[in-house]
Amino acid sequence: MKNAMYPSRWMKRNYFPYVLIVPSVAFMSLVLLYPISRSIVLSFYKVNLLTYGQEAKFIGFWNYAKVFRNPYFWNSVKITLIFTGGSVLGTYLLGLGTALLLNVPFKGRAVARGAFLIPWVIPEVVLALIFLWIYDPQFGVLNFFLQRLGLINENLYLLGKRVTTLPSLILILVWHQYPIALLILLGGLQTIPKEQYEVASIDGANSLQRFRCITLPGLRYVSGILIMLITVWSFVHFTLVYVMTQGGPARASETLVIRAYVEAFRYHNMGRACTLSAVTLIISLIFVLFYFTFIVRRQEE
Amino acid sequence: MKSRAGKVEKKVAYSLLIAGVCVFILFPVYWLINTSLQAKSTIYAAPPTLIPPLSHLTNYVDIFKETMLALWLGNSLFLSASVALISIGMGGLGAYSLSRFQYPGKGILMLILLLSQMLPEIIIAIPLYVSFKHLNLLNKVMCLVITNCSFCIPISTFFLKGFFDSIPREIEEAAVIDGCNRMQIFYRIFLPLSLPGLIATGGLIFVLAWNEFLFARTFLSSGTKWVTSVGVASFIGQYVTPWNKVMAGAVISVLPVMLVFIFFQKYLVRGLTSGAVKG
Repeated sequence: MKNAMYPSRWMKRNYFPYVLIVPSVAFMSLVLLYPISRSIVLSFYKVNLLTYGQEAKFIGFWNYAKVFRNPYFWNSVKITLIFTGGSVLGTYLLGLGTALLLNVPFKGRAVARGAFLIPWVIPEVVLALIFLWIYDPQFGVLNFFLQRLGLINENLYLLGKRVTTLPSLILILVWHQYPIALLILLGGLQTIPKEQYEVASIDGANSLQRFRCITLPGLRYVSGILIMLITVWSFVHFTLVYVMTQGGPARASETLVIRAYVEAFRYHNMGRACTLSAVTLIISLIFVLFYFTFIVRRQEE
Repeated sequence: MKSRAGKVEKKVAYSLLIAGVCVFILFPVYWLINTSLQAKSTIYAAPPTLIPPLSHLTNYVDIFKETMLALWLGNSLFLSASVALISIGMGGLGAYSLSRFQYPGKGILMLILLLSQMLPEIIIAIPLYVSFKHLNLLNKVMCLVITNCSFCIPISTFFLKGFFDSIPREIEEAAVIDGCNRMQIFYRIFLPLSLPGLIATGGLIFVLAWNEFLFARTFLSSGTKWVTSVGVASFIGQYVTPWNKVMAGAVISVLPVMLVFIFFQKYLVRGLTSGAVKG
């Protein structure tokens, strides 16, 4: 009623919040939404990255048919799933372990937390350098320690063998992103009321039972969010793999994003690369969808 | 007395456990610094030297002389500072809107901002490469500023919304009575009150832009235009530069990021956890 009497104020009240957010929205439409839709459109074209615009030819689902019929694509799907699964499992377990360690009050806890978070701050490119040097088949310190401990007889070439490449990469990614898991799970642990543990101890529950019946259920909600985040991040992870192995040896670490990148910027096959990235996008959206249904169901409970 | 002694023992054992885990986790970082301080002869020696001799700080000078590291650091500085400023500016306005007003479409906006954090970068890299080529922006740091902002604006919006949400409404009401309009409320009250938040968000974005690799690798081709991440990656597979100098370069490239982390750890942790947990 009051607003209707003051038309100018009415205008202001309604458009002001939009005016504030317009710069961000305009920017993101231009640099995010437009390229994504263009990628999807181009996945239906035969188009070369270098001669773009002159020779684009509509070929319908031909790119998709080609991609799905290619055995290397299915290899990439397999590699990406192993890479993602391994990273999520490792990141979650290491994050949970360190969060449990830090959840007990002790002197110097803040310092320990700071130290535990450092791996997350190291840039991926530097990580790649460090681990190339640690894994080095001739002079690497890892081989030295393993030999000294008597676990191996001759030096391993971790990034040169098909079997060891993927686990070696997963290890680095786990080391890099577990601090996020640590922070989120630590936050989750601190929301569990202490009384629950006390009551359980009085009832005679041992520490394993307390962990299984109080801690794990208490972490269910944050774990859902966390696992979704790490899944998507690992699924689209690019830098470590690209810098360290470029998808090799013999495609043993050729994930979907690496394949899309190589297709675009080495073979200039833009249509095919857009198809691959569209497929990647769709799969990661499926992960996100799972997460949202999880959240909604949880909120209904 | 006996139980008390047991308690002390338990505490010591726990501290030792934590220290052990720390050593294990921080070993790669230690190895980076250790290698950067050694002579070429000792890094390839059979039992590796675990304690750096501190006599080869020259590695740090050499890496500047032998590569274009200084230039790359400058480019990175320009890139990261611009991205931080633009993201804070745009994200701040957006966060004010999302934090204090109710309007149709708000939920969708938040969802889009959140989803943008889960995109494979490659899907925008390919079309943007073509667009930048047409606009003649390829191989210029400017195109990286634009691309990085697209990922950093949503982050700063979310972070700043968290900080703005914690500003009590009473202060605003008092300001309205004193005759402030809504824009004045923003820059006279919201910005000064959330200054720590602004700085922490700026720090985080600075780090993200500093570390970004895919776009930088794709859009910049000539060595003089490179940023630090691409420059450091170029050491790989090039056996001209020995590992001790490579590591010295890597340490230098990490320093700005480490400084930001050390100064803003508390705020970063708060922003990260609230952003992730609240979704």
